[in-house]
Formats: sequence, C-alpha cells, structure tokens
Amino acid sequence: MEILKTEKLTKYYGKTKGILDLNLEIEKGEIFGFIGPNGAGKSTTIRLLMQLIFPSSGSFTLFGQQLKVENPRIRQRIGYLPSEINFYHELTGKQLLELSAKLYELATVEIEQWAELLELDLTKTVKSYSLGNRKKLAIIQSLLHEPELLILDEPTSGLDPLIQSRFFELLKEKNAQGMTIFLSTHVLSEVEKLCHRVGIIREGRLINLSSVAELPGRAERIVEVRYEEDGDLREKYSFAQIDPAVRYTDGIHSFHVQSHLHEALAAIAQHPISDIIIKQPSLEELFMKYYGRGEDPK
Amino acid sequence: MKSLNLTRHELFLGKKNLLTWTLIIAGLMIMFVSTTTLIIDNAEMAELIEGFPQALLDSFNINVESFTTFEGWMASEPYVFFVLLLASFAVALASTSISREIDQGTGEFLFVTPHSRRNIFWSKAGADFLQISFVFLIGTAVTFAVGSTIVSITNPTGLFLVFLSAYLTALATAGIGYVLSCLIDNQRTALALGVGFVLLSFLFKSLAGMGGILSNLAKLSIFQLFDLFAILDNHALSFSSLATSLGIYIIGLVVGSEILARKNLNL
Repeated sequence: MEILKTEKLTKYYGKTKGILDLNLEIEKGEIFGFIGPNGAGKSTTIRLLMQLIFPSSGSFTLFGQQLKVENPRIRQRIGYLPSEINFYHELTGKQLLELSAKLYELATVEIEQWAELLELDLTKTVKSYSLGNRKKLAIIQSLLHEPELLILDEPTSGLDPLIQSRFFELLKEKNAQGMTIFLSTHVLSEVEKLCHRVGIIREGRLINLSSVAELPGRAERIVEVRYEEDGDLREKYSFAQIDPAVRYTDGIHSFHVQSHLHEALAAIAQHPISDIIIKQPSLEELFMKYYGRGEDPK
Repeated sequence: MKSLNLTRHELFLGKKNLLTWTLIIAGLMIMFVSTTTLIIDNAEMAELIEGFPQALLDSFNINVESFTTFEGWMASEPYVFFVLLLASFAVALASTSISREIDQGTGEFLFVTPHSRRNIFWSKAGADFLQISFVFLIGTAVTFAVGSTIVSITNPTGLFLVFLSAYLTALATAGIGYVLSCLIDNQRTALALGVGFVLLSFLFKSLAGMGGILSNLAKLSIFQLFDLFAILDNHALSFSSLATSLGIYIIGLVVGSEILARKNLNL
C-alpha cells in the first residue's frame, strides 16, 4: 500500500525554486532516506507534506487521499520531528507533552516510559533544556500518538551517540510494527544504518532513487596501505596504473578501487606491506564524489 | 473539545501577561477614582482647566462642565487612559497571536497538529476575547467599587456604557491586529504596527480641536467612534458606533482567518 505519492510536485518561493517536478512513491512499512546538501529542497518537501506550505504545481497523496487543500485529519496519522525544535519556553516537558496529547485527543499516554527510555527530565521547563534535551522532547512528542507515518528532518542533531543508538533501535522497532518512516538528513551514515531506499535531491530535483546498496559507487572500495618501505612510492612503483588519483598522506597510500578488486590487490601486494585496511566508502564520500559538484553520476 | 484545549492552552500561556495588564489598568483606575474628591466641584481646578488650549482639552475628553459629576470625570481623562491601555492590550494580543507562532517557530508544533488553521485561529481569538473581556470587567468593576465608596454614582448605566464603549473600541483595534498578525510573520513588526495604529489613532483624535484639515484626520481615529457625553446623557450607545466597532472586529477576524488559511507558513 502506498503511503505517500508525489507527482511533479513543484514549489517556488517567488522566482526562487524550492523543489521541481518531484516524483516519489513510498510504500507502507518502508524506511525512506531523503538526502541532499543544505538548501537542496528537503525541508521544502517536508513542509509541503505537513501542509505548512502549498505546492505551486503538481500534486501529492497521503494515505491514498489527494491533498489539494488543508486536511488536518490526515495529520493525526503523521508524526513530525522538525530539524529545529521550537516549543513554548514557559512549559515544562511534561506540560508540553500533555498539551500535545490533548491536541491529538489521546485518552492515555505513557509519557514517563518515553522519558525514561530517552533519559529526559520532564519537570524542567523547555527554556532550561539543552539542544539535545529539546530534541528528545520532540522525539517523544512526535511518537506519542503512535503515528502511521513518521517524518524526521535531521533527527539526530544534538543527540549524544548513546541516545542516537537508542533512537535508531526505537525506529527499527516501530518500523517492525508497521510504521513508515521518511528520514531527511545530510548525515548519510544514518541512511546506511536505517533505510531501505534512498532518494537524493539536489537543487530541488530528485537525481537518484534507489536502494542504499544500489547507490552509484557502492561497489567501490578504499584500500589504505602502509608499505614497509618509507616515503611516497607513487611514482617509483607507478601506482597511478592502479588508481590515477592515488593519494599519499602520513605514510599511507590510499587507492580507490572501482572494480576487479582482486587484480588491484594483487598489484598493490607486489611490494612488502606492513599494514592494510580495506573499507567501503561512506555515503558522505560517495555523495561528494558523485553529486557534490553537480556531475551526473551516470 | 479540541478547540477548547487550544483556547485553554492560550489562556495558560497568557496568564502572566493578563495579570500584568489587569493590575496596571485596575491600579490606574483606582488612582483616578481616588482623586475624585479633588476634581469634582473644585473651582480652582475649573479655572485652571479653562486656561488650557481647547485642542488639549479635547484630546483628553476634558470638559469643565463634566467635572461636576463622578461620571463626567470618569468619561474624561480616566477614560482616555482606560481606552488607550485596553486598546493597546487588545491590539498587542491580536497582532502577535499568529505572528508569534511563526516568528518563534512554535507554529511548527502547532500547525502540524490535527487542527485546521481556521480552528487554531478562532481558538486563539476566543482566548483573546476572554482576556480582553476580563481586563475590561475588572477595570470597570474596580471603578464602580472604589467610586461608590467615595461618591454616590447617580448614572450607573451611563457610566457602564461609557466603559463598554472603551471595550468595543478595544475589540475594533483587535480586529486590525488580527489582520496584521496573519499578514506579517515578524512578531515585533506586527506588534509595532498594531500599537502604532493605536497611537496614531490617538494622535488623530488629539488633532480634532485644531480645525481645518487636521480635524478631518480626526475622523479616521478609532477613538472618535463614540460620543461619550451623548452616552451619559442618553444612557445608550448609538447604533452606528456599535455596528462600526463590532464590524471592524468581526471583519478583522474573518479576514485574518482567511489569510491564515491560505498563506504559506514560512517557519
């Protein structure tokens, strides 16, 4: 079942482009990663989905219903975690969550359990919370009404690694229970950890839509080698034949190998090696390489 | 039920502000009422006032003849301060009701809840209405309560209607405030324009006694809607004044609500 579908969704702010001809389909139970640099159009897309702004052209459906005008009832089924958390400063965490529960007409809420899980003191006012604690409060608030679709905009900024890990576990658990998750981020490792599919947006246009494994360059490996022989050996052993962009930093030669790994390794291993690390490039590195300078990945 | 929750939330957030304004207005009215015995039938005061320029006297509704009764005194300078403060309170509430949510980013919490923008707007307006009414009632009640311990109030209906006219004027300024709040995303700008409108209106009213083109400007003032001494004499509000003040309030509400329903919320 389709939870979200956009068709040629376009948003202009005056003459400035927000997003252009965005076509997306997200299925129930999917964790979808939406990645792109700052200003690419991620937040514009989310604000359109949350009905905070209206499209210039194109259309979108949520839970099978086309949204031409504001439909507040649909929002009962959506949880939203904005990138910047701005709650009423004078309220305590508990008061804020109780207000949220009332606005969503929830009969009972398990506020204390959530607070315990994320280690949040609900007796303090929002004003006194650190950025991380505000984020925790916003996470609880977005999940309190058990939404079917959870929209997360840069969810982990400000969270410490332990809470991040707990939060990811929580998301996986909710997803296993059927929750669909739309995750917008520029921290690509989050996408690697969680997402089934990923959409890449740049300058308002969707430029790639695939599974994480199918992202361009995912077969690439980085081989970092420390030879027994000291110094920069790139010219001496013609390493450019293995990788024309081979780098040498602090005694380590770094080779980017696109394919035929066994041949490259054989060539690399022709000289005595004191240490070797073979790793997959992070999505950050791939993103910069394939999308960062406006190149077409194909 | 959902709307009631929103209204309660607004009242909860505004309770300190409400208390402050109530204390200021009630305190001011107590101060004015306490001076009643110094003002009424004070020949020296009457002589002094006769020497003031007419334009200045008009600005503050000061009329020598009205200084013979408690009601007449209350309809002069005390009324001017009462209506100015009440209107400022009303316009401050209204002009920041939506702009504050957008400017401070709290709208990203509020406008994604399962409430329509119109519902949110009217719930906020409901809370504002209750607060403006509360301040008006306390200010009026204090005036009557303290006044009756000092003098005999011979025209209570007329006096109440005078204060009611201040309330209606305040509601009209709130109507202007709602349009500003929904048009302008910056809270301070909306507030400055709202309060600026009240002060400019008062300035235009002050120019009424200057004659010529300046007296025509006074017709634009929202503070010229009601003829206070006619209210005291007739024990009634004129229909046109009543309809105009309520009309501005209601049109402001409807226009504000429709602007909000259609605009992009740039949070």
